[in-house]
Amino acid sequence: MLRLEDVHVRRGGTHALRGVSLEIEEGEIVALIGANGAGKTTTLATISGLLRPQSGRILFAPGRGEPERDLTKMRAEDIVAAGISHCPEGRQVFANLSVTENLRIGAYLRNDKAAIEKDVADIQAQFPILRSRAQLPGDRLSGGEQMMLVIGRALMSKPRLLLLDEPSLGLAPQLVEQIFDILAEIRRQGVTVLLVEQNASMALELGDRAYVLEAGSLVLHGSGRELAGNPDIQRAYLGGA
Amino acid sequence: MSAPRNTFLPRFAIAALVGAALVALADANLNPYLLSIIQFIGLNIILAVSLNVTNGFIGLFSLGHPAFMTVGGYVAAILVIPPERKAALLPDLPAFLAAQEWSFLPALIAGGSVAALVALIVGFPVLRLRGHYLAVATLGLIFIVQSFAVNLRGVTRGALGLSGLPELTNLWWVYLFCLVTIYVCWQLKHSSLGRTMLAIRENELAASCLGVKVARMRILSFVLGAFLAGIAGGLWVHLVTLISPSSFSFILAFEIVVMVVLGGTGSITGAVLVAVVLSVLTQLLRPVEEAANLFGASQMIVAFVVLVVLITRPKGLFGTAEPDLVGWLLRPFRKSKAA
Repeated sequence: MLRLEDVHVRRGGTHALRGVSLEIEEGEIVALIGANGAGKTTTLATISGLLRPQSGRILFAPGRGEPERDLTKMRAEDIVAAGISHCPEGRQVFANLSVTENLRIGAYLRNDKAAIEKDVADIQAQFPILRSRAQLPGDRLSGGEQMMLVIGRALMSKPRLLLLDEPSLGLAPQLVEQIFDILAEIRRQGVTVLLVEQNASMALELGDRAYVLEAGSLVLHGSGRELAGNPDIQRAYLGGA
Repeated sequence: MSAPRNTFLPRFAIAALVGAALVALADANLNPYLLSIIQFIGLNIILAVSLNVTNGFIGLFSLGHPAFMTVGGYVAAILVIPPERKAALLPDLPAFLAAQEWSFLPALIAGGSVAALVALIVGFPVLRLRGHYLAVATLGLIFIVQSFAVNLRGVTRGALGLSGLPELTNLWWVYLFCLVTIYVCWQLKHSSLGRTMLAIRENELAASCLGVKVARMRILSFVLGAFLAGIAGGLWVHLVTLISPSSFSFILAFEIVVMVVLGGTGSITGAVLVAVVLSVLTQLLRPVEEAANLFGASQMIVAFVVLVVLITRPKGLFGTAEPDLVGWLLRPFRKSKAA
């Protein structure tokens, strides 16, 4: 579904991605883990068109048998329209807009008014808190509620692939578990997920496969269970001895 | 948060009719000096509400309004001046312009359109800038436009300006464009387009992640603000019957920005209210300044008020909200009815 081929990105003076190649199959949850500054956020921003790579290709086919398109030549809004939704780091809600308005903006590129209203209702059924708080401005929600709003909003564009940057950031463990349950449910609904996480133990548990990013390069790759059992990973990311 | 949309139209219609009655009353009874002051208040409303689209809705800190007023003012004036007078005033005017004699409304709209066109051309490079950089660039635009007006002598008569313009602007014209401006901006704010603009202001990163065409929306709001400013410029010059390169200076830009900031960036109600209060206050303070021989005191007072408001209410009086002023004014009547 998504294939990165030798992607290089420079940000300011730093060589943030040094030849990243990875692959995601339809229906998977793939985790991308690594330390601060390893290039996880840069990877997502490059896929969604917010950053331009210096070289390399990013090929995306929304479904099996559909033609691949090179995202590196597309604008951010066209990439959303092609079926990729990006939830940036730090729960970026529109603070002064109501919960429902936040959701509607998620459907910015769609024109089918009736279907949009139905999807708003569906999302609010899936996340009941977004219905009971429908008229509150975004910044009045708690951290966990904002995370649900951001995920719900990202789903409003009807993505085939969801890019999630640090959904667990700053949330209580109980809420993190709830968010990860939601991700599993989203996958069941047929959306592929690329998940960037600092919380490596949760990410490896949920992810079918995972890549480990270190200083702009992928150093390890395997199934979630394999990596969770790897002593190097345990030492570096899972707090093991 | 804001008054529901379906109650807006009837209220707007009623307010427009009441306003029209007041305009008719004022037109018949007040002396020309007072009438011109009311017209300036109206122009300030148009300017503040239209700048609010750029600075308030989408959060671009533009100071460019005087530049667009200058463009709109010159275009409207040149189109309206009769050909025989143009021959005397502007002998070097290109033939296709010299022959034009437009009536007021199309000339105003042409002025607004040319201002919008300038905004479109300037917008592509300038709107890549953010915050203070954008403010400085749009400030530069004022001086660039002024310098064009000084040096394009064949079209603008240079620093002398165009004087003796027909006195076409009256209270009705100003009132009409006030209504149009408020109506258009209100509907915009409460449409999906306006919601998207607010979203860009709130969080540009999230907006672009959702596929919002940020660059296009910025240009759109800049162009709409410029169009209305151009029309206000055309109205203004046919009120004072004069336009020169220094008619609209950056001091005016400052005054309009103050109205938007005090009213609350994004609040149309706030912009209207503060435009009225500030204009009235400036007029009332003028005789005081003269009597006390303290010229410039009103500007200092305004600057002081701005500081106090920004310290106590950093988001302006109303923030982005549209308080239900009509309902608030009618409340005492409703209470007495209930009792």
